Order: sequence, then structure tokens, then C-alpha cells
Amino acid sequence: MKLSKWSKRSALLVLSAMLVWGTAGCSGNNSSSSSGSTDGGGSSSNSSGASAAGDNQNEGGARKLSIAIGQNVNVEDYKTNDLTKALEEEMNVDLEFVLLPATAEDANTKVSLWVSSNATLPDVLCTGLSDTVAQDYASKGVIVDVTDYYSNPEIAPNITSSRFDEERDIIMSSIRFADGRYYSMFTYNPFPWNDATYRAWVNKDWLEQLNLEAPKTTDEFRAMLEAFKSNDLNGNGKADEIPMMAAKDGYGIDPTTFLMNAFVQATPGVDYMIVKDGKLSPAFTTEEWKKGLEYIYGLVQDSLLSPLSFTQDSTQLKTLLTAAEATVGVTCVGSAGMFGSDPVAVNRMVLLEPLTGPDGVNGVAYKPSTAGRSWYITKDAADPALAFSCGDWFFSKEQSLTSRHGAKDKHWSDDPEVLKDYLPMFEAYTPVKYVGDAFGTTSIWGQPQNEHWQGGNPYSTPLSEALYQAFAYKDDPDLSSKTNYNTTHLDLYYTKIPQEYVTKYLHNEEELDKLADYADMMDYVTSSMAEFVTGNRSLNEWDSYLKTLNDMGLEEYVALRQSGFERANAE
Amino acid sequence: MKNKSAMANFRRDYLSRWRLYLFLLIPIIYIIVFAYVPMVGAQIAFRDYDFTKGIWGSNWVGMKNFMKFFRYRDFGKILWNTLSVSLYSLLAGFPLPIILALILHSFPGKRYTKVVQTVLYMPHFISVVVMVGMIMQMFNPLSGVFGQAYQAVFGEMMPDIFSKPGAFGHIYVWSGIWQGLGWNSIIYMAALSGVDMELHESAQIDGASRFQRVLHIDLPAILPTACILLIMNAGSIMNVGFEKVLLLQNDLNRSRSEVISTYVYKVGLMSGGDFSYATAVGLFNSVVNFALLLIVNYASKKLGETSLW
Repeated sequence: MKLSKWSKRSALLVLSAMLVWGTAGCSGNNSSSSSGSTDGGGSSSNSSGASAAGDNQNEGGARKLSIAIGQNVNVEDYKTNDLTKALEEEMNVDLEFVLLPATAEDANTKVSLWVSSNATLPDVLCTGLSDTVAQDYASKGVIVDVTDYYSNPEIAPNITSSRFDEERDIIMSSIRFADGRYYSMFTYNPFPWNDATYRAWVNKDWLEQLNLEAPKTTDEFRAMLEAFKSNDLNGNGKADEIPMMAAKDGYGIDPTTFLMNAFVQATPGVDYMIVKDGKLSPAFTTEEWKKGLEYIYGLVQDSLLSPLSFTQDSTQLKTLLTAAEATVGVTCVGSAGMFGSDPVAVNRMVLLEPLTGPDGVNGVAYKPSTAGRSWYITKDAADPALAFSCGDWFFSKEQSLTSRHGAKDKHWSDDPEVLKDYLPMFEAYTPVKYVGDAFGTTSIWGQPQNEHWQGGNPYSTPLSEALYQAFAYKDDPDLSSKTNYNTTHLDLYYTKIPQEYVTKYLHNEEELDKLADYADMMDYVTSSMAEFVTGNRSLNEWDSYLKTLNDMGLEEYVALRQSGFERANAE
Repeated sequence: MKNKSAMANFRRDYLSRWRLYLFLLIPIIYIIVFAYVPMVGAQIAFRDYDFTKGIWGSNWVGMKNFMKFFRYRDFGKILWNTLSVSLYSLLAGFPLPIILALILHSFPGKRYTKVVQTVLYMPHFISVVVMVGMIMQMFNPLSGVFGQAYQAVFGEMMPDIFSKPGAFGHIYVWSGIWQGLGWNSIIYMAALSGVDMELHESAQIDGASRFQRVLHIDLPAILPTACILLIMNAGSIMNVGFEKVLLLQNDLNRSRSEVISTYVYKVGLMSGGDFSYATAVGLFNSVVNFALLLIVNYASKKLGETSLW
């Protein structure tokens, strides 16, 4: 009830604000309404129309473009922002900002209030919309079709440039709509570290003390845990060593995924679907999955994997991992930030290679970075082509780096004279082609500033460039406490990604509607997994588990996912 | 003639006191605007809500959303989870503030009473998120206060209470009591302060012990208040504290911790947003609450002559 009170109240506020703003917008646009096309579906003729509109307006000053963008405490003022000024100057536009609430969810709510009250929309919605909502807006003409702009070098010189040639397919397939058209621009900043996040780390001091090699197979892994358990490796006279521990939530944190991938391909973010010859099948009903559960159950039963891993949150895990005295032998976390900033705690853990299971399976959970939709041009935009061109402006190499790091030569550099003093992020990818966060000591990311929009705008640094970035200055005094795991990760994890995998599901409205009925399916799978491996539920009940899944409609669910998968991969 | 006297009555009863009724207007408008107007939105429980068509334009689907909930595989389970946890917290949580108020009231030292009272109602101001964080931290078998105390006393690791589905109800209810005990006793303290001291004096003269005075003077004095509160609590029996349940939930206790409100959150907000279905489930919740309120009110009227109306 409370929530609806507030939404009513804010609806009134928004409505009244929109009335005032809407009329102002109309009168401003009247002068150019004759030439501005409102149909984004139109083809290249639009570009001539757009430039005509521009000429018309140039007499009276810069062309106006209104942008709805999320409020950000770290952007002092969008209007006076350096990035805004550069865009205004180079594109000869006058930007107006309509602020949306900071969180994506509230921003979505505000936009849907505008839409459902038929208010005049800003020219551009520079925000992410949920899949369901975006699909709906596209089918109802709230946001315009920009497909043709993507192949028009006059309107989009940067996006059509060779900079994106290598990754154009993955970008375009991740932002395509269910009807095969495009209704938005995108943000795409891939990085290998973020694609295979379910990593395991082992205490290298303990391995050295026991004179052990890092384990390669699940059996060796178990033997190592047993050795961790039975020796007083931290030398405090107490049997407080925890051979293996993780937590129930957090970035790449999960006690089972790393182990399960030694038995069967298991990727949490895509509902644990295995792809074989383009066909999806669930991993969680296979015999291999059951074997994996048995293996993990064995670890829990013999106090090798702490059952707390399934109930504690990442804060509690972090308390143990950051402590000066080591108590945890193996942990599964995605970020080295979980080890804190004390060099002792940071440096004792090293990445563990993915294990090989009894049947020779040796994989990693893999979900590649995809492009996220942003910069939707609305039906009320007087000049959609101009709006698209302004969005395209961010996609040059220079403006993309500025959008992420700040001013050139102050916060980032690609000057070869500067770069020769920097160490590469990936040993295999040299020489370094640019330096961002490691340049100087003043990263403005996540800090209050007025140089960029904190990544709120669409921009992209494709993988082909990102791999060549610098890691640190070679004479950095803090270099000893900075460990670069990227190369190790690339060697150990990236080489084991599955041949076929799900990048994303692209569902149409009908499928999304049906999928809502299976909302509790994945909850049941993860709950059952935790119950099986902790012994809260006996593995003898495996058949009743399968039966329940079938009763819940697993077959239909997989079929829905299959069509979403095929649509996402369609050419 | 008759008409005229009715008019005279109206004038006498209402118009002459119009200033008082003007004051009443403010809460009435408040209730209408913020409680009744939003209720119009509840109709989407009977529609297939589509935001482009709006609340009034969406298609009617009758009881479809309700039937979907009743046929839901886990309907019985989440209904039982909701009822059991709230009944438990009502039964365990209702008498304790009364007992506390009676004890505090019969303490001779007023200063001491005030201190105890203040200390006891402090936890009420802790937000739910912080509260759950504290519970999880304190009961962690390895790093928590209780975990370490257990280890010191018994020499072995404390069992992890968050992994036991059966323990969920106890954690939820008793942490709630710890947090709300002092605060809930305030209203009884207020009722007790209205008890005439002459009654106590004459009882003392008649030789009544302290316990007898509590039983025969204090308890009857707060009984009407207690009854009203019981009726009101019965009216919110299905409203299990949603944030707290969601925060305490994990893969292992979900079989006992999935309640109606967390289910509404999951189908309504997390998975694409089936607003109509979520509203139907919420409405069902409110209807059951309302029915319970009526039943308890009726029972209380018959038994003790205290009722809301």
C-alpha cells in the first residue's frame, strides 16, 4: 500500500511536470516540424531530411536534443559536464537533460508513467529498459526502429567503422529485438575476467608447507582438502582450518559451480543449460549432475567443504578471508577484492586450475559479455537521425575512452612515448595500446566529478582493444601488492570454455508471458542442489526430484528457452 | 413536523460544532486520497493488466488469476508457511509485552523502571536490514558471538541454524520478539498508569499480596486494551514481515521460508512482472486478513464484550 501511495503521488508530480515541459517542448519544435521526420523506420532519405532540419535550425542556433538520463551522485551536473560540452560543440546541438531516478528500476517506473499517461517523451531515453518493457515499447511504437541507421555511414560513421568489425555479430545479436529489428544503441565493454567468473582460489602457503602440487583432478583435490584438514597449517595449535568454504551470494561466489564443471557443463546465469548441436538440454537432470552432487556431498559429509557456504553471505566469508591468520584453504569467489587490501591476505591465495572429473570433463562456467541496450530514440523525437548521430559520436575510440576514464592525457593516454613505461594487462597482448585506470593515480570512476557521465551514455571499447590495455606503471611503488591475475585467468580458465554455449535468450512477448509461470523452477533447482549436497535431503530422492521437475513443466520450459536461444542466434 | 425536528437535531448535533468536524475533514481526505483511491487499482486482479491500456482499459479475465494461485503447486505449502509463522509469532509475542508491563509496573523504583524500559525499546529503532545482518553475524558458528560462546562451553562447533528449515520459524519469531517487546509494552504501561492508586491502597489494607494485586487490579485494567490489540493483530495475521523473511531466506530453508508476500514479490517484480497475478495473490491475502478480523472481533464481543465496533 505504501508503495502505491508514493507512485500515485509521484504520478501526479510527473504528470504536472510533463504538462509544463510537454507544452514547452512542442512550441520549441514547431519551427522545424515541417522537416523533422518522426518515423525512424524511414530509410536513408531521413539523413537528408535531418540535415535539412539542421540547416533550418542553424539560423536560430544549435539543434535541440532532449535526453532522459539517470541521476548519478558522481556526475555533478550533466549540463555543464565536459563530455556534454564536447558533444554539443562537435555535433552542433543543444542538449537538454531530463533526470530519471538513479536506480534502473525506478527509472523504468518513471518512463512507464510517462508512456501510460501519453505524455510527450524526451527525444532519447538514455537508460536501460527491462527486456519485457523494451519489447512492449517497440511493438507499440513508443521507441522507433533504427535498423537502417546501423548501415548508414553518414549517420553513424563510428559504429559502421572497422573498429567494430570483429565483434559486430555479437553486438548486433545481443541488442536485436524479437522481431529481428533494432530499436536502440548499446554499451559494450567486454573483458575476459568477467566472462568466466566462477573461479576457485587456493592457499599457496599451505600447498608449499605440505609440499603439494596444485591439484588437477577431483580426486587430487579431495586428497588436498583432507591434508588441509588434518594438519595445523596456520600453526596456532587449534584445528580451526577450513579446507574449503564459499558463500551463498556475491560476484562469482557459489560453492558448487566450480566443482560441478568437472562433471558437466554448469553455468548458473543461463539456467544451467547445455548446448549440443544447437539443442538445449538442462544439466540439472543428468546422471553427471547427480555424480557431481554425490562428490560434493562427500566433501560436505567429511567436513572438507563447510556447509556454512550455503547459508552465510559474502560479508561473513570476507571476514575470514581478510584475517591475518589463514583459516580457509580453498574458496570460490569471483573477485580478488574479497581478500581485502592487506598484502599478506591478498598474496596467499592463487587461482586454482579448473579440475578434471572422473569422466575427463574439465570445463568452466562461461557466459560471454554481451552488449546492453541503451539510447532508445522515442516517437516524439523531432529528428531521430540526429539523435542517432549524437549517440554514434560516443563510439569513436577517443570518446569511448573518455566516457570511461575522463579527459585524454589527464586520465588516459594512448601516446606511445607514455605507454612504453607501462606493463601489459595480458602478457600475450603487447605492446600496450592504451592506459586508463592505471594512468596517474587519479581515477575518477565512481568519484564525484564533472568530466564524464560515469558510463551512463552508450560507448564501447571492443575486446580487440581492451586486451591491449596497461595493467600498471612499471615503477609503481605499490606494485608488490598488486597482483595481475588476468594472464593466469586467460590461460587456466579461458582455454576451457565450452564449444557451444548460451550467450543470451531473446524471447518474444508471448514467450515472456509464459515464462512467468515457471518463475520458481530455478529456485527449486538451486534449493534442491543445496539440500542434496548438505544431506538435508537424501540422494535416494533423486527420482522424486526429477518427477517434481517434470510436474513443474520442465519440458515446456526448455522448449521456451530453446526458441529464445534460437532467436538470439539467428542471423 | 417530524422533518423539522430532524433538521433541528442535525443543526444541534453537527452544525453548531462545525469547527470540530472541520478538523475531522483532514484525516478523512487523507484516508480517501491515500487509502481508498489506490484501492481502485486492486481491480487489476480481475484483469489482464497491460500498462499501455491502463488500469481501466485492460481486458477483464474474471477469477483466472485467483484460480491460477489456488492451483499453484506450492499453494498449500506457502499458505501453511505464512499461517504457521504468523500464528506462532502472535501466540508467542502477544502475552510477553503484557507480562513485561505488569512486572515493570509493580517495581517500586521508578527510576530503575524507566531505565529498563528505555533499554528494552531501543531495538525497535533498528532497521530490518541491519537487524537481519546482526542475526546472521551473531549466530555464525565460526565468527559469531554465540558461535564462539558455544565453542567455548561445549568444545564443538555450533550447528548452523540457518541451514535447518525447521529453525526458520524460531529465528524469525524470537528475533521479532526481542526487537518489539519493549515497544509493544508501552501501550500497556500507559493503560496501567491510569489505574486508580486508591484501589491498590484498599487492597493492601485488606491484606492482598503484590501478586494478588497484579492479578485482580492491574490485569483487569489492561484487559480491554489487550483485547483490542489482539483483534487488530488477528487482522494482520497473514502479513508476515516481508523484508525480513526475504533477507533470512536461503536455498536450504526455502521450503519453510517461502511465504505469500515473498512469492508475490517474486512473481510480481522479479520475473518480468505479472502484476495482475501478484495483485490477485495480494488481494487474497487481504481478504483472509479481513475475514479473520471479523471472526476474532465477533468472538471477543461474545466472550468479553470488547470489540472494535
